[in-house]
Amino acid sequence: MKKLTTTMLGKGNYYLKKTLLIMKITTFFLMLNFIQLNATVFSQSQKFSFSFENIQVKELLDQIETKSTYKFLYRPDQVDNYTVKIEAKDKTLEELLTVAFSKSEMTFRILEDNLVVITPIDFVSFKQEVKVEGTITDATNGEPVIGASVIVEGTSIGAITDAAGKFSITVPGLNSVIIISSIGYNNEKISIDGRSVIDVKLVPDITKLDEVVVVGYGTMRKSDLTGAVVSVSSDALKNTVSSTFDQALQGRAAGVQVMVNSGQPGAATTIRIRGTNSLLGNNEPLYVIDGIQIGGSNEGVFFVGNGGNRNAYRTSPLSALNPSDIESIEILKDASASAIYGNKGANGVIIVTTKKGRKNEARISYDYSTGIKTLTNKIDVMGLQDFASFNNEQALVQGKTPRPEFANPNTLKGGTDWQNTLFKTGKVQNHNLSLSGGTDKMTYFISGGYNYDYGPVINSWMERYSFRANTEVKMKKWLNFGNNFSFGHTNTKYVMADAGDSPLMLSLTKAPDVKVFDDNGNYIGVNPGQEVPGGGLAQANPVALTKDRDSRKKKFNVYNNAYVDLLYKDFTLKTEVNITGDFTNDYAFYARSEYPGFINNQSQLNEQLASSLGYELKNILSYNKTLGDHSVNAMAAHEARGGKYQNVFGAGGAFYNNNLNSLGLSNSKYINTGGNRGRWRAESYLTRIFYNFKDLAMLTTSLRADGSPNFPKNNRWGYFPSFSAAVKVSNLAFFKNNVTFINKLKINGGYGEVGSDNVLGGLYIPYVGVQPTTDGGFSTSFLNYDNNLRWETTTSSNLGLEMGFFQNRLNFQLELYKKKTTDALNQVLLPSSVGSGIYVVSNIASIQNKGIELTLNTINTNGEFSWKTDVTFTVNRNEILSLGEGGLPLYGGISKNMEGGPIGRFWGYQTDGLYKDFDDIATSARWNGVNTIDSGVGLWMGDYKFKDIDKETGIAKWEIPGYTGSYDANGVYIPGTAIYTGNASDKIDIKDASIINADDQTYIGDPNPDFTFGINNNFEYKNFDLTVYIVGVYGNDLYNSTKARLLSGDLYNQNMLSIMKDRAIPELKNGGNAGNIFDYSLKNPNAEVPRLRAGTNFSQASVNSRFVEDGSYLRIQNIVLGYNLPNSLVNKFKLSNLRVYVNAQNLFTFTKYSGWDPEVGSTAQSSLSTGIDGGHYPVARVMMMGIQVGF
Amino acid sequence: MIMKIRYINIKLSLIVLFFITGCGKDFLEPSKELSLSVPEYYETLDEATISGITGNMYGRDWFNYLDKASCALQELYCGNGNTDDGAYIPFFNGTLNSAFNQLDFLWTTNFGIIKNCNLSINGFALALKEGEKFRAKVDASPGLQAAVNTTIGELRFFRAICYFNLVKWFGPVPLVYDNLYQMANPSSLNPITEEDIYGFIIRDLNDAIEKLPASRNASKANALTKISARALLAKVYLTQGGMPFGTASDYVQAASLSNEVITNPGGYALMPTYHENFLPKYSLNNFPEECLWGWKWSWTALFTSYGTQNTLQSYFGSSHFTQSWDGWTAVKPSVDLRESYETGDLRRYSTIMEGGDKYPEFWTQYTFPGETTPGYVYFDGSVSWGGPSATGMHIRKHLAGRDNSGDGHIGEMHTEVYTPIIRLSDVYLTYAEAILGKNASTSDGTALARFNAVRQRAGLQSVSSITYNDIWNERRHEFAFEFQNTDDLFRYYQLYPQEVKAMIMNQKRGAYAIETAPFNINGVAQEFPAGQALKVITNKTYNDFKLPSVTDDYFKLPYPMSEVNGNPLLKNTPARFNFELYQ
Repeated sequence: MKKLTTTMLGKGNYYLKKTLLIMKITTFFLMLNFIQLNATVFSQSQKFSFSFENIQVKELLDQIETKSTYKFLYRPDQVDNYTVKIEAKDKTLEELLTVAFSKSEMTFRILEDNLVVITPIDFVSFKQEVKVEGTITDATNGEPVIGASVIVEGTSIGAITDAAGKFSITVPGLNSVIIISSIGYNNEKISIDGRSVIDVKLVPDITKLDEVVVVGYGTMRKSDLTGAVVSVSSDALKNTVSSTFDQALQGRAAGVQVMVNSGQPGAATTIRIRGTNSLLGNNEPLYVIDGIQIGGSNEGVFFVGNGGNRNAYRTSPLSALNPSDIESIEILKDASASAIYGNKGANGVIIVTTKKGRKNEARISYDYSTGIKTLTNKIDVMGLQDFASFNNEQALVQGKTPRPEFANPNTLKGGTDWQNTLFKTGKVQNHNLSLSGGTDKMTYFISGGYNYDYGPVINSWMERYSFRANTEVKMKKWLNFGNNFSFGHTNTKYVMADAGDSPLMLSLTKAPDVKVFDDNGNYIGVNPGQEVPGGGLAQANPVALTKDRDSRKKKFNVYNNAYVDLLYKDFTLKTEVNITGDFTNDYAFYARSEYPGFINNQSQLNEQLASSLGYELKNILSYNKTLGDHSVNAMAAHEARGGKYQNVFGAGGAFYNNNLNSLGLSNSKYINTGGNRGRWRAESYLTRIFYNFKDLAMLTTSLRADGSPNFPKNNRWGYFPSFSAAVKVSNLAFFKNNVTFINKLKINGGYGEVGSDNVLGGLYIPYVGVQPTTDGGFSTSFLNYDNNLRWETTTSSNLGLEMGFFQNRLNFQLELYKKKTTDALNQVLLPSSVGSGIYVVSNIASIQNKGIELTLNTINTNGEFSWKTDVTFTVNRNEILSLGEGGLPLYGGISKNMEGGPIGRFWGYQTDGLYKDFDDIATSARWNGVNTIDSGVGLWMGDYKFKDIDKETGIAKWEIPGYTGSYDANGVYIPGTAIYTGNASDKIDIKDASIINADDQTYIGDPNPDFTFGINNNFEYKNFDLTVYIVGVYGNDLYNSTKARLLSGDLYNQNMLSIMKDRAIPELKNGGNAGNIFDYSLKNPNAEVPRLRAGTNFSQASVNSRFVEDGSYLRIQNIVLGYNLPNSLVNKFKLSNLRVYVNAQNLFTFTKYSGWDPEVGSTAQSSLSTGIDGGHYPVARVMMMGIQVGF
Repeated sequence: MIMKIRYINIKLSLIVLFFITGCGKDFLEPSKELSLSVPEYYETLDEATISGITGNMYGRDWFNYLDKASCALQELYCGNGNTDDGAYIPFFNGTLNSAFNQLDFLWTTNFGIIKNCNLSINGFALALKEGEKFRAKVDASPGLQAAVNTTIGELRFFRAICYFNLVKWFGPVPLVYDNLYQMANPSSLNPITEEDIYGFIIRDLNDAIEKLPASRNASKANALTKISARALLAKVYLTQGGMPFGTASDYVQAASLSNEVITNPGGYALMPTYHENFLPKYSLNNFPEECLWGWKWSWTALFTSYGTQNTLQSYFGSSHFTQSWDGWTAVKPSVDLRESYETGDLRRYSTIMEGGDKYPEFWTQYTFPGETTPGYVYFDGSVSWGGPSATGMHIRKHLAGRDNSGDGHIGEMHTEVYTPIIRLSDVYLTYAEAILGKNASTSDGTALARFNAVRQRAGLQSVSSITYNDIWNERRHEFAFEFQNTDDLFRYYQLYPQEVKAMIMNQKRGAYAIETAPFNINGVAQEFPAGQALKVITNKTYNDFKLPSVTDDYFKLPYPMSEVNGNPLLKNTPARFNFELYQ
């Protein structure tokens, strides 16, 4: 900590020692040191003893600084070469300095905060002193800027702002100029011009040149980074309305794909950082919240009824975290960055740092926001009149008696819009109160939040209560102690989606002639006397079902992170103890219910209580040293993690009634219980060395050794190295001197390995599974195993370029990466004769991801009207390189995952338009086993044709009763020669017809986007600010299985899409012979919808290209308009700031997709089943208004 | 200065201290709360836990076969049933190919049980040979010794019945006797000749007969006995007798073993009436005296326990019968089966429900006028989702009714009704068939007596001579929907291939086009569910369907495609088994 050698304050000649240097470049961690350096009242009475014969004043001041918390502000050229004799015993600083400067032309003043200013005597004495006061605020949000330094230009007179952003300074003259600087802001230079009150708004430095980022087990200057780390500020998060913060990351960081899987409040997102690495393992990133590691995947939700349980939903593991408690989020993308999290870092790491208190601040802030949620887009199903006509036509085709009430469809009135009954305006409300502040010895941040999030589907909601207390104490000069405690409670009610019998699907298929309630207020499922529609719960009333099938999850999450820092010279030893407690209560009840058309004659209940108690112990020793041009930051750590889980579940049924449904009141016959328990453990050793040469070249190396019980002894430990380097070309002298428009140019590259142990524990152990049997015994089973199971290893290389132009008005960052996962797990098919159909999981596959990430930040206009733009752009290409020897293609949802393509591609039949006429049918490939041309059971004009991929022939033969025709010499039918006789004994037998069977399936779509992007525009004018945020996804396919269901022409008494009207219709020509295909012509031969038939259409029953749609979209994600009340007004109310804003989220989406919403995400967070819309809970539009008050 | 050094030392030693507090050696050992390693397992075995080894083989392990594959193979393939359900249809309409997934269930169910049998049989052998602790424990306790003996007997019975199924259905299959060894040596998975598989089965069953208990235990009536094993072995010899490598002595063995069962039934007995075998009260451990071997089912409301219960009611029954969302009438009796019954055959009522049939054993919430006893009354077709049965009939066997009707727990897709696999009447007919052997007909007195005993109970006239066709018809009516008849058909085919092919080609597999009217009682339209009118069949027209072609291939199932992919050796010529490998 020697004299600062670079110019800090623009062109000023004055240098500040230590304080301001640190202010400028400090890390949060160092910030604490800085606070420590600020002496307290206590230190003002500190006594010094010195004895020097001849000491340079500069040296003396250094000595004092090392022994105290004073800091000095002076101009070196005025104190250099000046020596004094000091003979002092138990003197105060004032006494000491009085002696030291007694014979010089210098004098000193001790200011607040133990800042000592040393200036020439005359400089202070002869000028006219003026006292100036003011408040310094953040220009973007009006919040006070604490700890900003205010320096009078050309002097060493300075002050630091307090917790309210206020400063008071005595300037030497009426025309003095003050310079205001603070970390992360552009400096402001202001002329006093005789004013005594000066309020300043600091504009944040968009380039964040010296921003500090959290890199895992430590922090680093952003400009020092050698790996791929991206920061997302809490400001960005603020603008997104979501109950869990992960959703807010969408589009904010290049290389990070965020898919909101469901609009259900509290549902988990799918996050892929630089693609998908594993076929069988988990692909979610690791979350580290204040040092506590939390996996990104989570448990499903129970539903009972209809014979099964569904767990397509995942609940977000992050739902307990209140987004407004977050200070910053860092995303570690490449292996050289995430390698430090070795065994869990393979999918990237998201580090969340919560807010901490600040010194000399006592701040109360209260945020309130409220809003409404609505469905953005309705699916166009038939209204009552169209439905009635359609129903009549259906009855005709299916040989049913048309419904008499539909005799005159055009006269019908009303009809139920079922989407309107299920989707209502939902409500969102957030209350957050926080108290924060601190003294020199201690800081605190305490917050409490309450949030609810309802709808827009009725009876689906989430509530959250959260509490957080973060404190840090400087107990001794050599010891800091800190504790971060958080408690979150969420209570969520789910409605089933993504299933044919879910309320969401029923809101589309329910016939519009059915009412929600009868005249007595009871539900109706099917109008009395009508035929019950087949298939699952088609007869149920969706509104009733949201209540009758009641699935809830309550979670209690308690996290505590405690640490002690021992400081000794350049060493810091941090000991961290983390405790996590997660408690979950699942409740799934299916009520006994009976109404016209529907009966569930027995209530059922499944409940589960699960607890999981975990701990983490970490010892981190770090060493920081700067010697001349060399600076080293080294770290070594040991970490042990473990915990126990336990769950107890119970089921009951046939309760006395729907309200008396606690398990103890179940009919005893239906009572059942179960449960299990176990533990997890992991141990790691890690080390990292960072080396910086002259701020020109930087190197980082790390090595981590991870032990996991998930592997057999010989493979238990995995070793993961990484290496990365960066060169700041712009810091080279020749560059500085010759290139003026580029002010920043940094090139970085890295290589590293990361492992994943995300396999089911015990897969390798030859063990005996024991299971109780119903007669009181235990049965045993022996499980298959691979005794060489080992780590999945992802090797990645990264190349980055960062440039700043025109004094960082334009910032540009480009990263290229390539990742390869080897030893990826895949199932090996053992012949089931020896392995009985259970697949053995082995490390045999490999997967690759390549990508480009682009980030652009521009300041388009500056000044009173400012406009800034941030753009992120992400391209990722995934490929399964090898499934491994004996590795099976994996199926998921409708995807088939084979070598040579990305994960998740849709597998099915390729459609090829409609059959136009007899010859078209007779000469085209057709469905295996369908051997007749017949409007009833066979193929007919207007049916879908499929592409014959394998050209397999000779298995099926046409036998077409009622026709005669002629053949060529080879026995092949000659088109156009069939004659209909109506006599079944006359047959055309067309040989060697080409058939469609399972072998004709092919890839019909790819859910992986070509690219994704986010564009944020921020405008400011005076106290107004406006943010327009746009996200987009391009080039991905979606499989709309909702549409498949809504075009099932055979489902009687169920509603369908309006486009049914435009279907292909075979029309009998005048005087034609019914049944003779030659007497028909096809209306709408190019229609999307095939003709109606009595049974299921082949194109309906199979997965096929008909329902693959372009999933690209451009969404106006947020428009936020905010207004900060002027300080003059705010101060009147004794507030420090007051902001009001309105926020429109998901305002409009440009897309060709025909479903509710193109953001479909993945089922159960699985990359194998992404982009499949099975009646998905759509993401809502949210209109919010809010107020933020600071006291 | 001294103070300062101490101060530093304290901190330094703290640093050192933290780094030597690494984790213990066992820290990363896997959790042991849910499973045991193999040696631990044998050490902890005792009399109470030992019987559990075979617990699931009495039912749960058969679930994937029970659920749909059993019916697809044994009832639809031979023409007893009719279906339009894709889960079964290739077995019904002659489009079966190796990709159809029910074949996988037929294969994996049996090989799965074989795997667990192998691991336990070999585990016991090893534990008794090398595990001193275990051997000492067994030697010291006669009870434990008996339990070990019985368990090994059961395991060998189960392995035998699985191989018997596989060889009947698929012909040559790999002979897996040591999974851990063979897993690592895939070349040992070449298919083995049928002859050697029969040899292997016979060895297992002889050992089972030696080790199993001598007679039926009324309190655990489902448990296997020597009698069960003899009955199975009789059937194995009977089947082997018709194979190309079969000999006349196989029929002699079959006759002698079945005679032994009939004359020394060890507590088993024919039920006085046929119908009593199919009452819903027979569930869990409560099996009727006639059942020598059957599956037991139990159900829980627990979501994780799917697979322990009997699901057949939901596929066979109508939704009118189950009074809930299940009851899909996925499989119904075929017209061919119905028409094959002799007039007066009481078994029709217990097998097929037709208009007017009344079943007092089934509880129903609806009362019918004029009925004094509660019970279920079947009217034509019965309503199901999607309308009445297309053949106008429903299957009666395996039904449990609604809750309150019987002693079992009943819910949607969940009942506990047992599934009979070998009934004593089967042994009676086996005896007659063994005596008939390859003769055109027989009038053997004992054979006739036993054959007629079965007929008389069914209310039919005695016969004085038996041909193979008589045996087929009798067995068809005695065991329809008990998952036997395709096996019978395959056995019949070995002796009379042309006749059997013709018979199958001519089966009436079609269904009716049906017209319906509201079902009225005293002029009041009946509804179920509430608001939905029930309908009866007023007119029906039969649309015939016949299998387009039946070749010799029909009488052997193709290997499942997934299995051929996983084990290309299946394409090889069957090899002989080296019995010395496996003692």
